[in-house]
Amino acid sequence: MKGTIYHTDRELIAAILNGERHAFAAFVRLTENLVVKMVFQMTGGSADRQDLVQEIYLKAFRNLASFRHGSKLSTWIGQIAYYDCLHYIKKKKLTYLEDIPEESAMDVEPSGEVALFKSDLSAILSEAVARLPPLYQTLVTLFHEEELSYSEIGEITHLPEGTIKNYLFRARKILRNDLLKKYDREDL
Amino acid sequence: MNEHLGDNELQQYTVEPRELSQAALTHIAICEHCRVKAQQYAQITAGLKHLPKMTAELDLPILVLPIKRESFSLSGLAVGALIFAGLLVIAAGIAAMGPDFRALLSVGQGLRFYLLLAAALILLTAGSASYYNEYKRQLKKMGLLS
Repeated sequence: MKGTIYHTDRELIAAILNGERHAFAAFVRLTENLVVKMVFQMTGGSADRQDLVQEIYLKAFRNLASFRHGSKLSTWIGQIAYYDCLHYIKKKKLTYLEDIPEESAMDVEPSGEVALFKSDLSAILSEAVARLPPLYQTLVTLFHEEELSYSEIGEITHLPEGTIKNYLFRARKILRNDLLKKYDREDL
Repeated sequence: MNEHLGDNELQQYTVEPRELSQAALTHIAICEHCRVKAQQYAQITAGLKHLPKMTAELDLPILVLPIKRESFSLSGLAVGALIFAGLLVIAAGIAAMGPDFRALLSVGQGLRFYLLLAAALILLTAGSASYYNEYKRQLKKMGLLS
């Protein structure tokens, strides 16, 4: 029923399997940012992204009855999204983890001013994140936005925790350098 | 510790400060260069938590969930019972008619005609239900129905 609060994943899944549309809408609200961002980032904003998102949710719905409650729902659908995107990338021969030019990860000395962002933090940072390689973008979304642990990200991507940490370090370093360079150009 | 900390340590200071050594924490406290850098990373980390959200711009419940209908569905047992009832009506008809069973084929024979009609309807219903159940089973097999 509309407005129903599902206290646990079990309650939510039972309601979805019972065909309750509002339960499924709640499930979408919980996981939409994760799925849509993963698809957008991994496929480079492909024109097929909406079809992919729909396919991921369709797959999730068909397999919901087999969800084992061993992991979080977001981790579970994240796995589906990750492998669907990888399959798409392979089929379309897209680049996923391109080589990052060494200079972009080189150190930029801190300027005297501490504040990196004078205004519109979200927009500036979003643009910088969009310039990262697709895998780095996905890891940033999973770790920072979705607040998944290294082991949960490992479950989704099957990458070792050390590799995830290392990629995240590199991603944040690139972001910082990118932002500092941008501000230098704008005389901040 | 006189040398500046590396980027990884400074990031760790903002993400998992408990993982950092006491010497590194002390260095950040006294070194302006490292403190500035650490604060920049802290700003980035905080900013990443609040990036604009994305939505699918699709009505996913409509697109994904199967259309729920109040469907007529009979179990195998019910179908069997209907077929049995149909056969029973025919048998009763034959018993009642005896040698005049052929007369059933002609319209307007009162009770006999209605018995034939009832048997035909029961068998038709049972057949349709059985066919519908098989159709649903095939749809499920193809993954088009949950």
